[in-house]
Amino acid sequence: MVPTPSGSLTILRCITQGEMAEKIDKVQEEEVIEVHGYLRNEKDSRQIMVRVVDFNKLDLNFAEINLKESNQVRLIGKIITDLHSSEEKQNSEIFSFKLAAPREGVKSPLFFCRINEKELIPEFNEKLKKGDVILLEGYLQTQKILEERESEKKITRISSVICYGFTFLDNDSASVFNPLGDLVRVVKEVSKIDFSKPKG
Amino acid sequence: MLNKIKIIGKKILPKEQDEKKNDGAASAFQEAEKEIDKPQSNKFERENNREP
Repeated sequence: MVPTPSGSLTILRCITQGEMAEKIDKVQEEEVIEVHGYLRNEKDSRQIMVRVVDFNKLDLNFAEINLKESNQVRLIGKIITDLHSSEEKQNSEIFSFKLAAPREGVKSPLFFCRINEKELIPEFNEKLKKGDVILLEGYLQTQKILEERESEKKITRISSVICYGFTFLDNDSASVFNPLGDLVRVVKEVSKIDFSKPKG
Repeated sequence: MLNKIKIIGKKILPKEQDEKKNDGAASAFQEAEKEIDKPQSNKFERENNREP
């Protein structure tokens, strides 16, 4: 279970094997650990898993975890869809896109990304388009969706990379040649969720 | 290309594995999910419903 910069909590599925699996198996439940790894889409589902490369135990309580450092994703990839917004839920505009970030050991490198910060949306629209290669900064979140069909309950987990910053690197088109000296990093502070307010 | 993540959190065993071990007793994973699912602290849902 990992806190996100917005103050929410998310349960992320971590996978590993071999020696690393044996080591992580020895960690007691509820112990706080720092995990380094990379993202991998789960086969036949919309959950993104963390492939563990390294980890270490931390001598602190769960409540002491620094939210700004607890969940950090870095992806360099190509935007492969048009940037679009949709009204997913009432009063909630979701801005999403897919990013292709190929990596050795990742068969399905397309990651579903979304933007929650309203201040970042115009920047994205203005500066980025399909085919652009960016360095994305964000965090990983997995939501549990409970669907009730007749008497059957089905739980699905959907992950997305929540983007709070980007740096435009170049465009995939050969006709565009971006001078790398002009790199601009756009980052917005993640808004904290006010959990004292009633659910909207 | 670059693809990496750093996370800090507490370890919880996967539900399926845990259910077998605990023979029906509530696992840490289930307790954690219950905590998130409480209406007062539904932090997953609230993430998508927050007001501007």
